Amino acid sequence: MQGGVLALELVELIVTRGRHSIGPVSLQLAVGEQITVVGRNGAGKSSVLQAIAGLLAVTSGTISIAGRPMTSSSEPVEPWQRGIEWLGQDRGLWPHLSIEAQCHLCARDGGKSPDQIRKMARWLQIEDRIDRRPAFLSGGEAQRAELLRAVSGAGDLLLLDEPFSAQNQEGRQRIEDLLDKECQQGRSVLLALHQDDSQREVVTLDLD
Amino acid sequence: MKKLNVSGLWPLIPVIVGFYLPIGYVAIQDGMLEFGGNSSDALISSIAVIISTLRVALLAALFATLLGLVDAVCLVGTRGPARAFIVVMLLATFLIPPSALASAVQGVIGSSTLRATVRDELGAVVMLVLRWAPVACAMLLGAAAMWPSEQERALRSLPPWRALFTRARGLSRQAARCAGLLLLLLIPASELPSYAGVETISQRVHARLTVGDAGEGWQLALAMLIPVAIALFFLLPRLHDSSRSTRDNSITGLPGVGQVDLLLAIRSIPAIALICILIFTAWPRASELSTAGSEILGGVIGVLTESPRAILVATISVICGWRLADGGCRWGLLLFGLPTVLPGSLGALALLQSSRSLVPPLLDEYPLLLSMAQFCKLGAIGAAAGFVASRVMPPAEHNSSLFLAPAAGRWRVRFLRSLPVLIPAIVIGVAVVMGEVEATLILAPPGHPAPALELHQLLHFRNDEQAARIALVLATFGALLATAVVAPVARRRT
Amino acid sequence: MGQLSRTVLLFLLVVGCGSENSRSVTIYCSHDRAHSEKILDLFEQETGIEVKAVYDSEATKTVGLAQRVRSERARPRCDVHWSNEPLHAERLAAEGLYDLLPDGAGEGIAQRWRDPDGKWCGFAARARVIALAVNSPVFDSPPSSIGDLAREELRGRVALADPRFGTTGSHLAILRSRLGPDRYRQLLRDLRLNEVQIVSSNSSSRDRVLSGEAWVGLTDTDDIEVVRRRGASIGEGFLRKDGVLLLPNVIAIVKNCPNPEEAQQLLLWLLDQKVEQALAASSSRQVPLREGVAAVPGGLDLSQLDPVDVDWNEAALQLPDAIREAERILLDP
Repeated sequence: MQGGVLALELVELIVTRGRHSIGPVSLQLAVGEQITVVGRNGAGKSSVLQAIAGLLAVTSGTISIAGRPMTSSSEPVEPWQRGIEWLGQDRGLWPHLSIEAQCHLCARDGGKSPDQIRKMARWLQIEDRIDRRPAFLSGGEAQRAELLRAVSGAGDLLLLDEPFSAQNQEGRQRIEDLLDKECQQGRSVLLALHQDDSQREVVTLDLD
Repeated sequence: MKKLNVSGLWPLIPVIVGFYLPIGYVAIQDGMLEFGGNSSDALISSIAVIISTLRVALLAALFATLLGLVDAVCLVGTRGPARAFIVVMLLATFLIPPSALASAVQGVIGSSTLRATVRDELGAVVMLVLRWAPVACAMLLGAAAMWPSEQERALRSLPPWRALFTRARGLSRQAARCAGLLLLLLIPASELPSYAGVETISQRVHARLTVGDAGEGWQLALAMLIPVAIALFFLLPRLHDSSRSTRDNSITGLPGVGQVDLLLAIRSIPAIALICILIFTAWPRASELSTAGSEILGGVIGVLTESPRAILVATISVICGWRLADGGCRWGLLLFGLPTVLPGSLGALALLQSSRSLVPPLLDEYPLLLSMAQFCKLGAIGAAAGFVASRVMPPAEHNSSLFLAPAAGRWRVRFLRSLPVLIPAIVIGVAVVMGEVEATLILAPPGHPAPALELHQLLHFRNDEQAARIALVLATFGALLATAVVAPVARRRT
Repeated sequence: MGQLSRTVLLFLLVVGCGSENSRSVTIYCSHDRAHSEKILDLFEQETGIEVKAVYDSEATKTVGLAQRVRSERARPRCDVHWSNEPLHAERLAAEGLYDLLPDGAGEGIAQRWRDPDGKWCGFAARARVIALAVNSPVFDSPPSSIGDLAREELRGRVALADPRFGTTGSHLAILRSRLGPDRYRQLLRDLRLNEVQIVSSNSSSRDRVLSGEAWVGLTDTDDIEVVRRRGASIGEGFLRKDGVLLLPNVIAIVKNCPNPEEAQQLLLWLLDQKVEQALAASSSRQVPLREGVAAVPGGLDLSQLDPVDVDWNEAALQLPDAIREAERILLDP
């Protein structure tokens, strides 16, 4: 993973959603870095993230994660085999499990320890909520809880689609700080945002 | 594009062992492939019967689904008195075997009330709709229980009637799937149509088998099966192109609509009337108290003995169907659901003829072959439940589960999330197994309790009182099971 | 693996413990359960042999037990087959599914009620009769032959059970063997032209008469008797011009059955005179086939009925064609 291998590389990636073609997109995300994909509504940010995650078919181009090609193999690489943790644009918390149970489920194969999960929950100000089910959280709490679940997993690449959309300034800052810490520990982050005023590298998408 | 995942096809093993292999073996032995003059004559003369069978099944499936959709929308879209009671009553009547239903309907309406040439088919459709509408209602209640919270809240801000119509439109795709399931279940129906004097292809197959002309029976069954299989394959849309989530689980904000209350009250009249007829018929005279008591006790013992097996068979079938749907295997679902289309007697006879000599005599007392035949017979219920469940889970939740290891994502997330749809399907499956007579007669070990078969025999002999007592026991058991359906969709009064 | 083998062992142990050492016999019985169950209980009490019974259902809803016997040919489960359809029994005998009867079985029952090859024996018969609506114009001058059912004044007023199943199927096969194919088909065409009502079973045929929808319903004596004993008002007539058709219960031992000794014991017991008497006294009102058995009050006596002679083998051969033709002429749209 270290020593020059990129966490993510897209080369001339084109995906198709409905009648619209998105791309070509090329980017290189080094280990420990963060890149933001920005674009106006409907530009295809979420579609690109979904294609990287294996949730949407690739029309052409290549995707490599940690140096491993995702598109050229005859055997499709399933989402769970890609070393990815995912936060979608819509809330995808599972309503039948508590937040803590969901985090532990994601952390089973080499993810965060229960103590680390609690510590991160404290940082995200949802420690007193993680024994609850999603129905008992506010919108902002649910989004932070879902981020907590994503970060709890073992994948080195975090794909986060609009992770700040339901956050106030403080909530956003806490998430940013958490992501910085994760990057320092060797993880990489690709975000999709409407706009980004931070210091992160930005790739702009425009729909043809 | 997606390669066939062979490891995900294990749910097909029991259907292959319990249905396709026996049928292949017996069909060849019985001369299914030998077409003679009689065969082609029989097939040609049966075309009209196939068409009429399909017509009755299609009409009944459509009307039952429509009625079930209205029931489900009214029940989830409004608040009002006795909602749980109404659901329980509707579902409990489904557990009363068809013979008792037909007997009660004909006893009250009288076959003479329905006149002329439309009488027969109309009567068959009416009875089939009465019996199967609760199935549509249960499945759609399950689907509605997974309605997204935000959509639910938005609906509550609409005027009541517009909200109800919007809900109905939202459930319409699931209703279409439900109609498809009912069609599959109703094509082989022979019992209720026979009470209405309607000729179905199942009866024709039975007639061939009864005189020992099995080859021609198989040919007739295949003449029905092949077009249905082709139609199903093309109608079964691609899996996993989902749309869907969690409903707001309280009644706050739901409108109270007087007309809907009235509608539901009217709708529950047939169910309540049926139960009342049974109670009235079953009520013992003073001199019969001890006899009636022992009959009811016998019925309870029979139902209690048989129900664990029925629950097990139905649960495994639904889980297998769900697993195939979750794996996105269209062929697998088709193979799993097709045995439902054939008359149950055919599958049972094939299993008996091909496999009985392979079963160790030590296991003769156990209903292994019967369970296997009934498992295969429930295929369409399992497949449809799995199909609906895999499509009502919200895509965001579904996608999140794909980042877990396959087993964890499947069983700890998607399976548990699908329970609101799968539990009603299991209840329906239990009811089908408990009311099933075709495979039971052929495969049940001697002395094995078979309440539905006993009911048949009692009604044939006009022992209506004892039959009503057994039917009541079954209905009570149905009411208990129905609470399992009501529980996940029950709204909190907050 | 160790755990698996322990589980299998435990299962086999439980299964093994479940099987008792007591004597038992398995019977497939298509006679009405309400009557036959009591008789079989009596056998259990007298002999101590456990009777495991499977009772039949109406054939329109499922295939009958005869087909089960056929399908279990490779490893029979049934010891004794008690059928109420002599033609189906005759077909099973012809297919080699029955053993020879033991010596002395059914003594006193005439040869005409037995298989010429000695594989089954008839006892306690039902008569084919017509049910008559008490307020109908035909109550006082009922039809006396099956041909009369095609008379103009009975248009749309005759109920007939589904001709492919039950005793109606047997009745038609016997008619075909007696009339010949041409006259048989003509009879069916006449019935169709006279708008005969086809119903699901003999009991439905009787019920149509009770409700007044039909004036005449072709059925069996036991179907009428059972509602009469419940206070229903319904008439009964014999088609004497054709000769009274009696369809005996039939009993046989299944070839290679698992309990041959017990099977013989049960068969001999069932063919005893007292069983015929019990069936004659029950609401199934069977006709005893032994000349010497005294008729019960209100019961039917063989000597008064003058039953027709039936060539069971020939009628059984006619059954598939009789049914196929009835289906085509009476049922096809």
